[in-house]
Amino acid sequence: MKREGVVMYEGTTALDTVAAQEACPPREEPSRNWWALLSDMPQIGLLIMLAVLVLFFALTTPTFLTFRNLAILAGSISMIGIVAAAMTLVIIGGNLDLSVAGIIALTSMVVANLIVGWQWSEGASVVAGVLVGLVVGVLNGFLVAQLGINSVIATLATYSIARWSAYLLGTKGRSIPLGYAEERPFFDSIGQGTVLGVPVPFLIMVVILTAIWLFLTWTRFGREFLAVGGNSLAALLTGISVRRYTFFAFALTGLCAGICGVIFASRLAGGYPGGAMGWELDIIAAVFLGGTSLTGGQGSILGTLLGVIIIGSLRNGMALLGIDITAQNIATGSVLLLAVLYDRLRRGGTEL
Amino acid sequence: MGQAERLESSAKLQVTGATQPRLVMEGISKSFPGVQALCAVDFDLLPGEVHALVGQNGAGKTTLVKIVSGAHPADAGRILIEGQEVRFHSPADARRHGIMTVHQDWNLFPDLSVAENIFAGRMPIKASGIIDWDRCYEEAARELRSLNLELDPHTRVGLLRPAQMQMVEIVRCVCANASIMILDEPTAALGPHEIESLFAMIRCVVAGGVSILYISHKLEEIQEIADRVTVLRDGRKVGTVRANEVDRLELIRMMVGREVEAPQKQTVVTPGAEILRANRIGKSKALHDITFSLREGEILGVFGLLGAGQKQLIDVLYGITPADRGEIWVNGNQVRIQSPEMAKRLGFGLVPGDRKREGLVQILSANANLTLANTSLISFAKLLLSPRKEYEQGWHWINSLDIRPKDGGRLVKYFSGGNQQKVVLGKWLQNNCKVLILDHPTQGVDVGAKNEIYSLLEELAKARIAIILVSTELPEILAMSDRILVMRNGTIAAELPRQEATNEKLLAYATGGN
Amino acid sequence: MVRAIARRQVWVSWRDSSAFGVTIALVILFVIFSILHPSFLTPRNLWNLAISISTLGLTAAGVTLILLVGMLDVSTEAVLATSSVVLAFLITTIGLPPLVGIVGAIAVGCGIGVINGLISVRFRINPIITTLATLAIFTGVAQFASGMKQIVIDAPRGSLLWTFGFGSLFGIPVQVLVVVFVYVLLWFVLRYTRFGRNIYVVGGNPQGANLIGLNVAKYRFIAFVIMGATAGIASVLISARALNGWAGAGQGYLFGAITAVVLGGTSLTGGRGGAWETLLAVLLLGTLTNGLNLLQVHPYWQGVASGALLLLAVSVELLRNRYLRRRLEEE
Repeated sequence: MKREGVVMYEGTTALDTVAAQEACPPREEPSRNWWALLSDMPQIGLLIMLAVLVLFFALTTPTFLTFRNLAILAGSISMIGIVAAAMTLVIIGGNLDLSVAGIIALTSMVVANLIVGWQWSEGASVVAGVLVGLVVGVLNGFLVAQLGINSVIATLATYSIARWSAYLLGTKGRSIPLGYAEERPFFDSIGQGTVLGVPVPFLIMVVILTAIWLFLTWTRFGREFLAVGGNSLAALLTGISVRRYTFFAFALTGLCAGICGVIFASRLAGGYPGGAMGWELDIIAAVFLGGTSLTGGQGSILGTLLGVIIIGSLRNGMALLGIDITAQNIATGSVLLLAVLYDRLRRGGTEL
Repeated sequence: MGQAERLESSAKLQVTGATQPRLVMEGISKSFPGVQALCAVDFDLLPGEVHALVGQNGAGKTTLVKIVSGAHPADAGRILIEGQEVRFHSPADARRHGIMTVHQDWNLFPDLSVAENIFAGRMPIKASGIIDWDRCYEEAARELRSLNLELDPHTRVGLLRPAQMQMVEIVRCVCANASIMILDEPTAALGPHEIESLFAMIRCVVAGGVSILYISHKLEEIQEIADRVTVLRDGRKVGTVRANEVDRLELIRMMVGREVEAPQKQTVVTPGAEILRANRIGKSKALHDITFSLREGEILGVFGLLGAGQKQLIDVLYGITPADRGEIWVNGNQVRIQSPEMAKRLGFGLVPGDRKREGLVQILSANANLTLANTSLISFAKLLLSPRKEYEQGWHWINSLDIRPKDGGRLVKYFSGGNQQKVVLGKWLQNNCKVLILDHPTQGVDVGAKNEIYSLLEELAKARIAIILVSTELPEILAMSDRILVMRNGTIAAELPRQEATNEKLLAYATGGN
Repeated sequence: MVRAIARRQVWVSWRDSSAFGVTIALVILFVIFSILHPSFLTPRNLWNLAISISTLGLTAAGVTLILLVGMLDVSTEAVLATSSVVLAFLITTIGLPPLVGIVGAIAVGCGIGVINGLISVRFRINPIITTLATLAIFTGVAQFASGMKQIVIDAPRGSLLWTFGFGSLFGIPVQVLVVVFVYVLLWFVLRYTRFGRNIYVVGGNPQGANLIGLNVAKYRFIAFVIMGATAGIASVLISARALNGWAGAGQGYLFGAITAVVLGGTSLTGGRGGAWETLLAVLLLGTLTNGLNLLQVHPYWQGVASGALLLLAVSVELLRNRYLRRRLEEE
């Protein structure tokens, strides 16, 4: 029997006597074929849905599957994706963060203001912008985890504070255009640059998604986080600090919203206090679509990624078909409703 | 008070008179998977009678009450009310037949007034359909007065003391024309003075012709309030006796039976150094002056009736609600245990009473649960999870504790109760815990697994782990403990070494008196 | 004697409720503003103040009810938008009489409430998720139907819609009368009908309500429908005043309404609160906005302040609960 790494009580083997010890059999690696693996994936429904969407848009529009359009799609979903990755953690923990759109707008204004008004260097402005997002996130975490305020109400309030602060930063609430007179190689590349044809924001999203996925699946803190989401009482009684993890989720979401805000400012070349209006819906819808639930503590980053791609493709394809943004909002809302209704019917149980 | 006494005597007269029973239960049987909870039990209730139901935990009282109140259907047997056979499909059905249960607190509306709670859902209305507030308060005041209660009907129920809340519930049942009232451990949270006034009220209610099914552990109370007592043991009826014709020891003997079936602890471990000492700790009004010490390799049994303060003691020791008085010493250092996290660092572990809600994360695998208390042991550099380490350590504990099936990758919710309990135990062993607190570790566990858990506890004691075993089950406490603390009303009523402890003694201390 | 006790009880419960603080704050604000600005206490300004709070007041009435049963509805702004567009569509585009338009707008509000209620209650979907989705859907519907344009409504002086917007009765604006009527109705229903009392019962302890035989789902559903209806009425008032139908009609009202209701002491978990408390808080918010406008404080600052105010309101509520619980434990 292997015992390395196992801390036992000072060399005793008392428990070995309880049951006849069996040698530890080698761990079975799941060695099934790729099809069995694929059909076992909980996201298979999402993949099919995505395939149908892509097929539909490829057939109905000539441009959907062009490299140019896919690059645009990749760029546009990345901002939602960055925040949705962190939002997954918030929702696994049983909370909601409605303040993200406000944070994005505020960050974009802060960055633009620092660059244009205060003549800060690009790098310092970007860092400051991201920090602003983190600060609001920390405030959210404090209100929810420490004071115990309902997360919807708390983040609704911080949304309002962030949004109106963004307006305050512009003269008479106007947006701050950066103008194209000056060269800002670093700042411009954040939102508009490409590496080997892949948009930089997409790369940032991939990095953040991977990091959060690694955190959730491959670190011990991620394991403890899943325990908190799955059964916060049991986690508490196992000596895991529920508060700390709740706080962390909100702070991280603020940070990611800050990063998103910087990309937003770079892509649109300016700060927009009214920008990102209604984005929290797309973000939350993507997370729910990905199979994360508010009550079960279950969630997957891969699912969130698929959710983000589906919602992004839906908007992109509809735009190509000439359907305006209002109908896109209707579609997104409906997709969210259908996702949660499907989840409910699958698990059964209705009332009335 | 003269009136109450007169009413009381008239109630007794009613009982002695040859009246038809209001409720008859014949040959009631009920089994749950693996357990025969009730076996052909007969029970009857006369008009205007207080009939007490006693028995140890697991004797079948709760099941019988659930059948009467419509929460569970019986497998066999029939229920007659006023001679008519009835069938209940839901608690609402039972209510319609006038059977109402008084629960501790969760049936009241804390933000509404006493009067509104009494009339909740059926407020008095005028002919126009408008609520008649004057009548509401007047009638409530009249009802309260008729039961000798000095309560202002305008008071918000959330501001009342537990005893008063209980009384409001009783008044509500009376006003809803209850003919049979079930009181389940009504005095669990009450002080002596409050119990007095509750009893006065019960006497008034009974005088009005209501029959009461009274469930309690406290035998002296039963002798004070009940007319007849029915004793259950292991799902069978032992007998029904007149409360004033039987003495307490006789009742205890009926409850306990002749032989004790629990396995006796085989080995005696010589306890080591003192690891935990509590000195006069207390918590608001629930816990007072708790003093005890615990040594390595010792099993300390904590016995008490339901609500004697064991829950609060666990909460304080494990930092769930920190103590506000007294000192706790661990390994000779004084500590303030502020959170479970801190308790874990000090070497404590808790096997909670409600495994599903408090012990396990159901959506994770058995291995993940087994290694949850100390995830750094299954990580590289205390950060990255190692599936190989997780698997090997999981396997170690699955093997050592004989958890079946031996598949640690399986979600923990698919294991049986006994095996789940072993997973919770394994979690703390994996964390190398020094003081293990167990809250009713064998509740909802079948007999085989029960014995396995008992022998596990012995092994742990041999491995010099200090164990605090909190239980309301006498045989378990008697069989496993080296020393026994008996709790009553939030204090320690007695501390007995194993040799001196007997069934009767423990029950006597726990029920008060001596 | 019962009367005397009753009177004392009313005083005690009022003193312990959040309405006490709100009233004091209101008085202080009135004093401060009338000192700082000479035109604050003029009839003309008070008239403006009264009209400015009417829409917020109506929305807050619905939010009070929905919080009382322990639910939450964030789709209010979409209801305001959709109802407003439907009103203009029926009157201007189709040319139906104003009355039909008004009834149609309110019916649309009820309809959205029915959808919210069905999904949240029957399918037991978290009401926040449900109403977040319907918020997106019906905002989209309103924008789509109106083509993002304001549809002008032609309401000649003296017509029904004009009366709703600008008319007055006995020197009191009709808008204010509508709000007062709704609040009196809400107060009456909550206080003097079994339905109203059962709302408190269901919100305060759903399990207990179930045990005494109340259909919890039914009350929750009805609360959603009434929420939709009050938002529908509010949108009629907005559109009548602006004389157009617009998808942006509802902006900011949900936030204000939730702030007012929480400020008034209605608990987020259900079962505690009331009509008058909310109305007082609406008055407080309206007075604050009005006074700050007079003092020419920038609206953006006011926006930031309103967020802070909501946080303050919830925190105070939280501390008050903790205090009451501690006092209870010590007794």
